[in-house]
Amino acid sequence: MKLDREMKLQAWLDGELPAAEAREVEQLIATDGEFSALAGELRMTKSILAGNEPDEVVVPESREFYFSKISREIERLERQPAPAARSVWSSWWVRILAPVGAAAAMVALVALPNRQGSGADETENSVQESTVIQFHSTTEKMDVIWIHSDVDGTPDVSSPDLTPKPDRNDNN
Amino acid sequence: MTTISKARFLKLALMTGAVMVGTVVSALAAPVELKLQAQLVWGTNEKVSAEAGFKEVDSSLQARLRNVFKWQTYYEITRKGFSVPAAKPQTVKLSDDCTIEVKQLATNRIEVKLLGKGRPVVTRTLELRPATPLVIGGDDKNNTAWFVVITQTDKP
Repeated sequence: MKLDREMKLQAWLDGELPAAEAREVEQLIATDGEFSALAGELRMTKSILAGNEPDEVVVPESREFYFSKISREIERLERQPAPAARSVWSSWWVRILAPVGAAAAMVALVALPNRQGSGADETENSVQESTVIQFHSTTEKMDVIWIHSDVDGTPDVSSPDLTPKPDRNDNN
Repeated sequence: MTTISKARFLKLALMTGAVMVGTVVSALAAPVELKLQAQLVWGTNEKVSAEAGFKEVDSSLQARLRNVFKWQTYYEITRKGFSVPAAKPQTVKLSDDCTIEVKQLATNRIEVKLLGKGRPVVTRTLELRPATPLVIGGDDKNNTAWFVVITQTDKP
């Protein structure tokens, strides 16, 4: 009970009591000598503290503290995970065009095998006696394979069909 | 009702388009039946009478052959049109002794094998180009020459 009265007195000094309770405290101070003495003591303490309490204490920053802040900041930055490199796959158009390009390459590989710029390009000569000459006539636009017989001039291809008819004609 | 975002729709449309383009390209690039013509030609510097039964090759081919080879007149002995399916080699007999085998390797790419008296003489792989004939030739008796002219045609 006594503590309660003291707390009310302190609140009265701080101006925190409602008007009705403040009047009660004021009556007690007027009638109760002990209570009045306590009020005077608290009022004096309050005035002393209020007049001498510093608003803000500034602690001077030492040289070591200054550099330790820099060191801590560096360590903090080093601990942070490095931002992931921007993957080429993150672009939407790359994700779309990559499979399209791969599909086109596969189509090209399947559909265009052995495609070369020139025309005739491989000759396999099966006649031992012959010499094969191959060329492309650009003026006449024709690919030519010439098989020259080195032995007796008789080709294995067409002579039986060709020679008799002119001979027969000559005989007629 | 399911909603599709604009980006997802665009992605789906592009991928569908790519598949369609790939299908069309592969269809266009797929080997189709080749239509060819083979001529057995005899080249000489002597004029042969019309009664001999030979006819000269057309003037265009005559001029082209004449500009490349030394002979002045070129007679057509045989002319045969034929088709070469993608997966089926074709054998064309141009005379008793002269036969060619043509195989389609890819679109407009063929392998030609020339056989004389049943024996392989020469095998050739080449890309056929329109209006660019393949001429296989050799010298013959009496300062004459034989030629096999293979051209791409519209009709076999």
